[in-house]
Amino acid sequence: MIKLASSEIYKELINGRVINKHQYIDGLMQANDLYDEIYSDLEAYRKHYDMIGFELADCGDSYYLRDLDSDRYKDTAALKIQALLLIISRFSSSVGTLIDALKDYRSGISRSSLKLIEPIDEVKDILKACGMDGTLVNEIEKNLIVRGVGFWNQNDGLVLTDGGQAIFNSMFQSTQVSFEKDL
Amino acid sequence: MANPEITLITLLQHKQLIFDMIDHADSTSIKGVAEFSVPLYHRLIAQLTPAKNDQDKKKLTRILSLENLARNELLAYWDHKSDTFIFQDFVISMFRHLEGHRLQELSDAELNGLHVRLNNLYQDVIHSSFSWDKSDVDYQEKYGHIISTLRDISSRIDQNVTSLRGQAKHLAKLADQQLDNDIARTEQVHSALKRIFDLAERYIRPTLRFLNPDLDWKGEDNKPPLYLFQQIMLRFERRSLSVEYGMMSRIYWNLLRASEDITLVRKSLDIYINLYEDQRRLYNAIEEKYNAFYARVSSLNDGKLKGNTLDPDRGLMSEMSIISGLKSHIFSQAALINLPTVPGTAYLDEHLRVRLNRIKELQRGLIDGADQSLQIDHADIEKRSRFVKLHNAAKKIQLVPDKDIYLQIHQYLKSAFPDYQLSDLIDVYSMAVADKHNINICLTNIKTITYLGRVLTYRLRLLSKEIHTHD
Repeated sequence: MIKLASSEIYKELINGRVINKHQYIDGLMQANDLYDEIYSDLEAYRKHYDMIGFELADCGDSYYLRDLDSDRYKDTAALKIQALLLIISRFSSSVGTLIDALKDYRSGISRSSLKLIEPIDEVKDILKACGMDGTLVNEIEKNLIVRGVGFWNQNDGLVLTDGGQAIFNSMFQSTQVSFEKDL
Repeated sequence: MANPEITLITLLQHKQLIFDMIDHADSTSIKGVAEFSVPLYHRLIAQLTPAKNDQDKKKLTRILSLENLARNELLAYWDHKSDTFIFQDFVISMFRHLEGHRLQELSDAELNGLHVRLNNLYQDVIHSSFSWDKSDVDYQEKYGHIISTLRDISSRIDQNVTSLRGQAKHLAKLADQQLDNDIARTEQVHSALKRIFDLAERYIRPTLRFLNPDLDWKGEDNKPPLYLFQQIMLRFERRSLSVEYGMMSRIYWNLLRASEDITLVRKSLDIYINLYEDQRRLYNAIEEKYNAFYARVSSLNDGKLKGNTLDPDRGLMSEMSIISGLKSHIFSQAALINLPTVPGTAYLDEHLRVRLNRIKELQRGLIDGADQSLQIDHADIEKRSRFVKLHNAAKKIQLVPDKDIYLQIHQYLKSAFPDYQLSDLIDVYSMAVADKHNINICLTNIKTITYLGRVLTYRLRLLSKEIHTHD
């Protein structure tokens, strides 16, 4: 464990942020030293957080802190993140964007496209039902960007981080069907 | 008026005119079925001539006029009432051959037709009334019919392969262009991928099925087309008609070659087909989950002021628990532990000073149970001093630019420290590069160091030369 890095890691995780394998710096995806630090001494970090009442959980190529003492009825963070991803995925095609753009750091779904989705009644209903009182873009900022699930790229497009992509895949994954099934 | 040769040469010189007519007809109706519109033809001719002088213009218009085409028998018909016309088949076929992707693919119905023709030939040759006497006129007529039918089938399949190859290349280029230009734009990419998917499903798959001698053609009663072909050949071979058998074998081998070609075309499209299928599955999954979730949200709108938020315990869907229990976002907790932010050994020095004083006291026998405490302290001090030694070593390492930093440190420590372990490398690395700001990390170049049974895997890190020389 490196003292400075572990201190940074603690600050990130304790505030409910996801530490991703890569981070977006100057228009490029670059290795995240905090992730590398956890990875290089994973068992020590797991033990450390276990001793203070948390679980250091992995989510694809990312780590986050699971609150072992929390009341399950207060588990709203996961619900909000998933609801936002569901809204963005469902309506991305209606604003002329391929869903793959969410996973490509050069593309992303533009803020202006997301603003087009905001006034839809269904979107407002879902946000309200999940305890989100702000607009769609504000809630994305609070629940995806701040938590390290997504980021805005240089074109002001929303892109999912490693952790965000893992959550997305877990939500919509399905089995592959081969084209050569009867040839 | 121009003769047929001049007219055909002029048409070929202005092939874009015919291509535009074919594309327009194919886009407005079923491919190969639509008639050509006379006004459109005139409009396209007018667009051809603006740069020419009056005399050339008149000459070109006269050669390309429908009257001239009709007189040279290049039109199948010209209907004045509906203002439409059709070129003779050979004219269109010639132009379609000039660009592979404009050729017509064989549809399922056409392949069915080819199968029926093969089956009829097979029924003929197995029938007892078939005359096998080479001098018999009846035999000669029937044999002639068999060969011409087999050649026609082979030629249609060949044309189909060329068409599919051309279409596949054209659509793949289109899809690549769209994907390269802007992955975010959905409509063009989706449309190109869908056309590739349709091509594979509607034309390539049936052709491959047609050319597979082990698969029955649509139902168990229908023998595979190539099996029928083999059986026809076999009848000639049994009667020692080697010349006829040889001729049929060549056609048969040509069909097998076509099968290989079409397999290659299909393989070249696999990447796009998988992309399209993945997307379709993804959109279906999103739609299904969204509808289920929105149904839950809608059920909350019962007009009551309370209880209209979802129960977070149930999550979005039962199987989505990958981030369940994510730590709540409470900033105040961050301040409970404040770790030092300034690097250095001040804390360590203070710790050692206190402990060393205590050791002196223990040695004087002032505290009970001195022996046990002394042992623990020695081990602890040894551990701390090792850290200091590593820290000092890190200062001495001279890093060479453009060479693997981890490897350089590893080699130095290996020679400088007799009890060096691989786990020390991570600590010394951070100390050695603490004041360096010119480190390049190669994300794709993964290296490993193995030492004393332990393995370290890391991304290649290099000291940049330029900045280093400035330093």
